[in-house]
Amino acid sequence: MNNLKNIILAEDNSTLSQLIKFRLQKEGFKVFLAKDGKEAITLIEQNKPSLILTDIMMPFVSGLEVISHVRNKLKLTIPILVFSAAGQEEMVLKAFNLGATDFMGKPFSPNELIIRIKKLLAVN
Amino acid sequence: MCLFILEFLNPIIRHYQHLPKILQVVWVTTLFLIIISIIFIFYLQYLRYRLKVEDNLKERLSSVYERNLLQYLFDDEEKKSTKQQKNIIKKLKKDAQDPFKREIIVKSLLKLKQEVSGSTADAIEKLYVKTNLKEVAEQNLKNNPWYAVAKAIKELKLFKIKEVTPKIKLLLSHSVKEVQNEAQLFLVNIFGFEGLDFLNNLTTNLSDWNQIELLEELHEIKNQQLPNITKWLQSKNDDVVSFALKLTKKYNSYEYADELINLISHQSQPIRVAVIQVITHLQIFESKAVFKSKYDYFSEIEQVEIMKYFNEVADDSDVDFIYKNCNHTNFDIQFMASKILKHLNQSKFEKLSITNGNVKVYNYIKSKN
Repeated sequence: MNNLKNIILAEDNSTLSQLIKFRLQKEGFKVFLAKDGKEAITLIEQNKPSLILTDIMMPFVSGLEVISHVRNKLKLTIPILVFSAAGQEEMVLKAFNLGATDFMGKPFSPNELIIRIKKLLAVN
Repeated sequence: MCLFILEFLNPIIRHYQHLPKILQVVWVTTLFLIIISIIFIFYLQYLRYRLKVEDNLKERLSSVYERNLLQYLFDDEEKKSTKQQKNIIKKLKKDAQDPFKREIIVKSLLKLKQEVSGSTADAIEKLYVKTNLKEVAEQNLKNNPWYAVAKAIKELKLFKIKEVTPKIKLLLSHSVKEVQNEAQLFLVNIFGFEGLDFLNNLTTNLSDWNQIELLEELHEIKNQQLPNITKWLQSKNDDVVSFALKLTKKYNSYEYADELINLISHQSQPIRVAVIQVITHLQIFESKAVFKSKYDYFSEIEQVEIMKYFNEVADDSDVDFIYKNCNHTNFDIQFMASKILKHLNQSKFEKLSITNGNVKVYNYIKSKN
């Protein structure tokens, strides 16, 4: 039952990830933070999350590589929501081709993010 | 100890005194350089140490201020003004008086502000005002070195402080170009197209880079409805005309077709070239007659651009005009004209008079499907 509420958040901006973590915890989710794609992959393999939130541009391993790993190697069908900055439209398309479920352009509203997460988890 | 050193140095000094002058100079110079090098090595070590200490301090303070900011936002989320929130404001206000700490606080706020929108972004903007950071930036707009003024404008822009607009407008005529540019970007960021009103009276240069920055700011605004830009297209400042042309192209403003046709005879060649490029982009058919009638008066650079225009819009009525250009002395024009002619009228293309000058182009285009 607990696994249903596990969320992995891969984001290199520590302040933003702490803010999102707080909001999600308030909504009853358990959040695992990763500051780069490499850490995210380790956390995904260890925690069997219900949803993954990942920034596209991250050090060491990018968000695209995280999506590819989840879909092709781990064969997971859980929703993946990607964050992207303005001007990364091509990256977003690549993310969708690799299997991302949804995306949010930065700057985004944390309130809207919560609504989207709830919807994605409800559908799945 | 001193005796020992003197005893040690004595033979060296005696040996030195017996050396030829040139060697003495070499020894003195070498000794001097060695001493200077040692001083520099110690100084560099000291600088590295200072930078390391400063970096560590910055990192520590950043993490403290980020924690403060998050705590403030969490409380704000709960819609309550707690004692803790008041303490955070008080602490940040106090620390902001130190320029070093102030910079770290501003960076911490911006780090989050640039990633979020909505109520969280509004709360950060409010915190910026409550902690007097805004007041300091406003003070920096006056009597400071130009780079401090430019930095203050940029900061006020990022925190969307609309009320400083009258002060920023005064800086549009600042003696330093960088300050003027920041003031222009501020106005566009806050007011969108309305912020471009400074173009009405602009007499100074607006470099290509400034124009790109302004377009970038416009790209971010919500209301993408381009206002009437006729007065900018008619401006006496060539840079304003150039920028207006970029706007016409970016926003596909077909309604300025007449203005663009008038600009074909502008006195500046770069403007004329840019006008032809915009007309090509918008594929304005009405300009065909003007191009044909004035073609010989244009420079080769403009003629090349005109041929690119015909490459997009030419039809049967242009065959004669294109035919004449197939033997042009300029390779680009000759090549494009032959290509267009083959596409429009194959039989006329095959009747082209082949000369030494166009035989290669003719054979190449003939071989292509």
